[in-house]
Amino acid sequence: MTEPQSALLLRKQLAELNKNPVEGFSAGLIDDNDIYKWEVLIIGPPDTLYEGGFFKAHLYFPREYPLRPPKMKFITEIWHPNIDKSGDVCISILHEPGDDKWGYEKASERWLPVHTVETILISVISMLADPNDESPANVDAAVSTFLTDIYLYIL
Amino acid sequence: MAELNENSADSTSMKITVKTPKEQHIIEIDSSASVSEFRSKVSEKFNQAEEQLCLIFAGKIMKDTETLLHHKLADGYVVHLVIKSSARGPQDPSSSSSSSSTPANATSANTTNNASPNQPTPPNPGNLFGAFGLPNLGSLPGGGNMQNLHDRVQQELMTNPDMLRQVLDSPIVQSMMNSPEIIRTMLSANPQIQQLMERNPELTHVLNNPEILRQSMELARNPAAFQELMRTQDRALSNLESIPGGYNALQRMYRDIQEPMLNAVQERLAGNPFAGLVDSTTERNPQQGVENRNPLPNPWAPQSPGSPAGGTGSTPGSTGGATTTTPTGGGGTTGTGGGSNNLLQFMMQNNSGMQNLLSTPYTQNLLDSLIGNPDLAQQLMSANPLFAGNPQMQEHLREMTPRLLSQLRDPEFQQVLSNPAALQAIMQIQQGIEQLRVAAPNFARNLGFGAPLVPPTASPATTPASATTATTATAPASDTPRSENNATPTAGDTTGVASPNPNVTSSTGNPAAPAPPNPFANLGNLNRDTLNQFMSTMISSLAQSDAAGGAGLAGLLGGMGGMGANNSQGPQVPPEERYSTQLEQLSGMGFVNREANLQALVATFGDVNAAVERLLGSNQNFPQS
Repeated sequence: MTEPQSALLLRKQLAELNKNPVEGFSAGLIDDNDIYKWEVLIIGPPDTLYEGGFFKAHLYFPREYPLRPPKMKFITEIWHPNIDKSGDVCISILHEPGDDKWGYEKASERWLPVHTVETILISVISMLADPNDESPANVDAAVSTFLTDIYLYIL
Repeated sequence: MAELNENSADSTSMKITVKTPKEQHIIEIDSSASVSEFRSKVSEKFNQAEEQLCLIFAGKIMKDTETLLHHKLADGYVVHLVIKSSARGPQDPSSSSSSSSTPANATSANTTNNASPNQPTPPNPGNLFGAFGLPNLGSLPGGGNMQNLHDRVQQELMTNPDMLRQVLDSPIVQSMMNSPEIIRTMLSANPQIQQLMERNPELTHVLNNPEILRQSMELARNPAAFQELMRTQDRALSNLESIPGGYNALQRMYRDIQEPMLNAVQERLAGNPFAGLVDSTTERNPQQGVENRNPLPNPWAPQSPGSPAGGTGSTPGSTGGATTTTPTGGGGTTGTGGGSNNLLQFMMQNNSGMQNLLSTPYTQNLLDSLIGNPDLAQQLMSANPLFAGNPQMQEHLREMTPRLLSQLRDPEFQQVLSNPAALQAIMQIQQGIEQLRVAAPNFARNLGFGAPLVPPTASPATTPASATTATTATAPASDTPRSENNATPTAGDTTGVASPNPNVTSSTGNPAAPAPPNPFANLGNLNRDTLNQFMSTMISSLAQSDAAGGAGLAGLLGGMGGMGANNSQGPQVPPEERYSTQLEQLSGMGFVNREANLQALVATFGDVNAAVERLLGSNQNFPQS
């Protein structure tokens, strides 16, 4: 059976990441027989609250990849405004392509076929370092961040 | 994948690159080796203890019980290495990250304090020392022993509040704290603070203001005030949200100021080392050091006339400024009490502060919302315990509120306030009157200056209560750019000046008297125009200084009462008649709403140009009115 384009592309990306990994995360497969399910371990970026922690996340790629974005879900419990309580990540580049029906995001900020696992994870790592409190997925975390900030500010 | 498996199956030597964020080494190892063997090789190469190493490949942490085969490592692959910091001890960062930022911050604060510049630490990614890029807290050159001593003293102080208190109370430190120069030198010698100041010019301003420094030190020694500040702030924030536009202001505050400030301040203030200091020192001021253990009153409950000065925060919508001034005011009074006890002097000295205050968008915003909602403003004023039992004063207030508010909006008055020369002129007039009163009491009495020197309301004890004026709502916002820690500078300073002030209060009349004698009634007949002008600047200056968060509303309102009587040429002439010519002019210009015209004229004391401006402005802002 010939593999679809998506599987070839993912395999290529995985091989590349194993040989030349990107700073801050490590990627592999959950099950070696399923190229569409990835496991990544994000190393808590330095100078953030997450420094020193390891955060395991799963990436689920659709068969239509790269035309449609993968879903990302943190397996490790993580407290972050843009990650909801079940671990799903809310980040604009993982949103389905096209214009946002609520008008929050431009099409260019959303999923584009040029994105790779690497670019996704770089975005996620930068999101860990710098939460986007404009569109929180975990409102409690956003509120607590906000309140903590306010208190620290008052101090 | 399958072929990779087979490749690595034969036990041949392979080269694995192991990399940390800082360095990378190539490790040669047999492909059938176990992870523990691999780990020991890595530990040799990186010169780190084995148990501190965390090897990661393909999204998995490699465990000692597994083999490299199991992870399908092959020649040329790269393994991530994270070196855990042994200094971290039991505090697991991944677990603390799931709570709030507090534990993590506390850790970083301690670590920063213990960090030594010359300690030969090998490059260590998990190490917090370099985390903030601020390793030189002490900046002692070279000497390892000296450095150790320094560290130990710091540690000792951090862990032992009693000792800290003793140190703070010792005469040497006291005298140092009383000398802002020394503190400033100390602070600016610290490279950490230097960096902060470079990145945040606002902080430079704070550090250059001796009063603020002194207040900060005062607060550091007085944890009760600290706690009170935190407590009332919570309340104040929720109050802010209920004002129209308040929530927006909060949001903007957060976005524009708070984030950059937070970044700057977090590093220094993450852990409060003074939290352990419970009982405080000798009290020089009734407010200072007294922790208010009473629950904060219900802001929506009807105000009883006898309610004490603790009415702080009890006025609906009275916000941050009102409440937060209470504790800082204590420190502030001590600080400024000796030097400047004149309101205007203060305003002149803090010229830039006034300008800051006036130019902040929050001030404007809050004034806008107050003007848009005169009922709220009136409610605010009449809910003040000082006036709750005095219907006549309330009547005055009701008449004066729109005027006062429009005064506050007038750029001209704001200019006057930030113009030291103008303030000085006003002060000179006051002093002249005062002199006249002393030198020729009879004459002065004839002119109407016989009013009591010190009105009962101008004592410092009432200050917090009177600070609950509508205009105080501007204080928190205006403080924001400059308050580097607890010392809300403007508010504190102003409160400090609110001690009995004969100059100001004598000219503004006695507000507590049921029918305030108008000190300018006679004089007003002599030269009404000049006096009008003088009075209006006076009023606005007083009002503005109130906005800064402290000075007695009582004095201000007394003045307003006087002005009201003065302007109306006696209450029997209605404004329609008084401003009939101006009204005609306005309607000739096409302003058809007679009611609005009249209001504008009243607010601008009959100045047609100003009234036109005001009408145009109000039409823009509030099309429905």
